[in-house]
Amino acid sequence: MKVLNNISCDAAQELISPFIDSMVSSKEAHLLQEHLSECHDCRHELQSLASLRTLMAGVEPSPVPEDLQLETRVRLSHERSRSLRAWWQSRIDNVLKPFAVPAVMGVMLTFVGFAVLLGNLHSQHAYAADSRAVAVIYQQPKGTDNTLKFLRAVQPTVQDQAFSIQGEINDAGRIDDFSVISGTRSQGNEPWLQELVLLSQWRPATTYWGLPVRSRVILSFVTVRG
Amino acid sequence: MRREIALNDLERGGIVDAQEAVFVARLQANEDAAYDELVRVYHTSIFHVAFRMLGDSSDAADAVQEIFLKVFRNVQGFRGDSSLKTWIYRIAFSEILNRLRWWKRRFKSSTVSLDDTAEGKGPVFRLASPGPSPHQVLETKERDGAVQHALTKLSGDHRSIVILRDIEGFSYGEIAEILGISSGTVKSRLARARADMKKSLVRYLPVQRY
Repeated sequence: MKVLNNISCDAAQELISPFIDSMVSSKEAHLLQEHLSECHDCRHELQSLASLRTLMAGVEPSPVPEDLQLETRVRLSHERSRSLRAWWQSRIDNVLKPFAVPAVMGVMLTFVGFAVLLGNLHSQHAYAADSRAVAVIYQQPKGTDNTLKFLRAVQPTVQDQAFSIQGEINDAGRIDDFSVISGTRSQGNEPWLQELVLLSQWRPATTYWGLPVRSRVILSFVTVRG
Repeated sequence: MRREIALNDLERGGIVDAQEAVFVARLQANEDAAYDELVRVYHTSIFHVAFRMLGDSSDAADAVQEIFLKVFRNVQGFRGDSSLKTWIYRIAFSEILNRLRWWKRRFKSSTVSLDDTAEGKGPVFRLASPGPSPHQVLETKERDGAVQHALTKLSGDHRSIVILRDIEGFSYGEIAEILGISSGTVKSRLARARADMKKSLVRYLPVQRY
């Protein structure tokens, strides 16, 4: 390794690349030029790198695909519209999300509240099968006008004691079973009891939603003297 | 022939900063015309760089599209710390170097035939047309192919620096900004990259008097 003018060939060659780009200090340039004036190898290196830079700068530009600009614009346009949709979506989500949970909870609480209050958690089949579900009946059974007239008209052979019967009213409003609660069942009152069961018509009890269900009616007959 | 880098008025001079700020504001406001102008101005120079780095026209075209998408996705974060052009090239080189690393991981070896043009076809001669002779065309193709071949033998980092400095003409400071390294690193890497290029291209280097 030669050392000329206080600069070695290695140091000189490190400076050659920035020197051809004018990226060395004036002091470095001066040292390098002095070295080059006396060193053939380094001068050759400088000439080679200068030629390389000229060669590289002269490289023909590669042909650009004809549709590159159009395709890029189209793809960019798609991306931008997708981004815009995503932006709106996120805005809508941000607005709706705070309301979503309270709204769902409100709906659920309302549903549960109505279900508990109105007994809507039970099926209609359950009402029909279990006549004890009186608590959920909204409308009590009532006699129709004709039945009331019939009851007033009958002259049951009732003795001094009170006479009471309990009738089971089906969802069609007819008594399909009955039992005597107080009083005595006898030959005298049997015919009108049969007529009562066969001919009386009732408005069956209904749920809140107006659906007829099986129910029970108690009829008491009392003789009033006077 | 020295290639003219595709630039518009935005890159020249003092009033330019204000004009560039307006242009960036239009991009950030998602203005159609601004994006059309951005693509029109930069797609050619970005393609040239991508082609030199990747060595394949279709890969380069794909990279260009991806680069513009990334510009769009990140333009809201552009604060003007560097010029728009430098910022776009930084995104471009980040994308291109990522692709090179991906290919390296996949052990894809890429070589360029001296007969290849950018489209991968053989040389085309138009004997009847005026202009360079067939011999000159062949020489140019061969020389450019040799340069491309020499570039592919460099590492991604060295290739980036040689392309940015010796083909695209960026300053050391701009290269440092684009690649995110110091000017000193640019200087040393460029010297090593040029030494490697010189070895590969020695038969194409006429000795110049300096």
